[in-house]
Amino acid sequence: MIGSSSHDVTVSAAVDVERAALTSLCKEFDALRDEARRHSVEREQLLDQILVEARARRPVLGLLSRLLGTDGDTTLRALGAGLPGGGPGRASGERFSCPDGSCDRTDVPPPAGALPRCRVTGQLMRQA
Amino acid sequence: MGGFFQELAKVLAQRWLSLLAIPGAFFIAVAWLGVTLGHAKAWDHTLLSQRATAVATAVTKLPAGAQVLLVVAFLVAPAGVGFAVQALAGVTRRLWLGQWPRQLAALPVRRRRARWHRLVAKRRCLEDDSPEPRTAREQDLVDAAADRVNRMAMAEPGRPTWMGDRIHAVESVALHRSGLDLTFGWPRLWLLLPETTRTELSNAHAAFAAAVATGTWALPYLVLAAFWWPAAVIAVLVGLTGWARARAAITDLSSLAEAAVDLHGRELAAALGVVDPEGTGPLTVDDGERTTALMRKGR
Repeated sequence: MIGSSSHDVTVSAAVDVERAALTSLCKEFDALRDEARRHSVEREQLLDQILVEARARRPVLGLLSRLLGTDGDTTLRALGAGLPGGGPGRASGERFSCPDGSCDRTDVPPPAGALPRCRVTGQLMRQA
Repeated sequence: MGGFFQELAKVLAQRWLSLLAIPGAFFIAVAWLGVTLGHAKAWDHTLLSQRATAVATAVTKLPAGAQVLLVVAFLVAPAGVGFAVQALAGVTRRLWLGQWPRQLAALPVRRRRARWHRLVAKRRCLEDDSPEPRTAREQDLVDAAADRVNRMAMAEPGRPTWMGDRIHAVESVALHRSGLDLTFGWPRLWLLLPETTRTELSNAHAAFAAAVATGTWALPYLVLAAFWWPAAVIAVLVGLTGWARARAAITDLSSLAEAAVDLHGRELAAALGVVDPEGTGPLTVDDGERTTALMRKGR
């Protein structure tokens, strides 16, 4: 009885992991496709094979491990950390203005630099 | 708990093997090779074969007790060499993280800072030339310019090395954007971080420590290069491997550390009673500065 319950837990955990892998694959498929294209035809074919397996709702974690060159345990993390976030992203501009709008001074601090303060009141300037 | 300690012992044994014993044994073998051949006959296979045969013959002629001692010495020596080399890991770490004497660091820091500001200026020029709304191509150019700035340093450089600046950026961003001085804030923040966050940070730090350990092996090979020049090639390869791994690890570590400050900085301020624990929103610079004042206690 105990053996059967432990077997159920193991099966359930495996299903959860596959489900998480499928979720990540679905979310990040475009990035994965772009990345595979940059590598080799074999890698692209492997991604196609993963897609076939995923559509048939068969396990994909093992194939994803091969695609990403990681073991099964780290595949899920690599999916979440390796591909998205690898590009330049969208540049974030910042412009600050007078804290209470009394003057027209604006300031653009260096990226991640100190927030500018009003030199008259000492208050932090407001993001425009 | 028994399982935990077994697992820990296994991990420590693996680390001992991979960071000390195996590289130590390899170094002893290369050192013997280098001392035997020297610069003049660096690639003399015949001489190597003669010397190896002579050593093997001499060993077989030793009494059994001496042979056992020799085997024990061969098993222990690599770890001894490994420990000796790893004592220098702190030097590698300080070198890579840019913790140099002030006089040595001043010029490279100035140069890095000037280069970073030039890159920022280029980005600003592009932004001014193509105000929003931008076309996709204009936005790509601005994004690429911003990426060049970030790839060099995530905030204004303050250390003489790239890795040093990754860590410096975490401190700088925390101070300038959240008012938190991490010199005093990090230990307190660490105590408040959830277990999963601490595990991720510890893993990234362990990866950096392992990369430093790898890179440190370049030092004895550099010394050996004085006797046998091919050791210089090994030194460069080992050093580059460690350095590349360290850069990757420090990227993870600094990104995670900045994320931890962003996500949990407010909890630190709340734990010290500066902000309302039930409140929401990002930690303001003013609240962060009050938190820092409590932590620094006038120091």
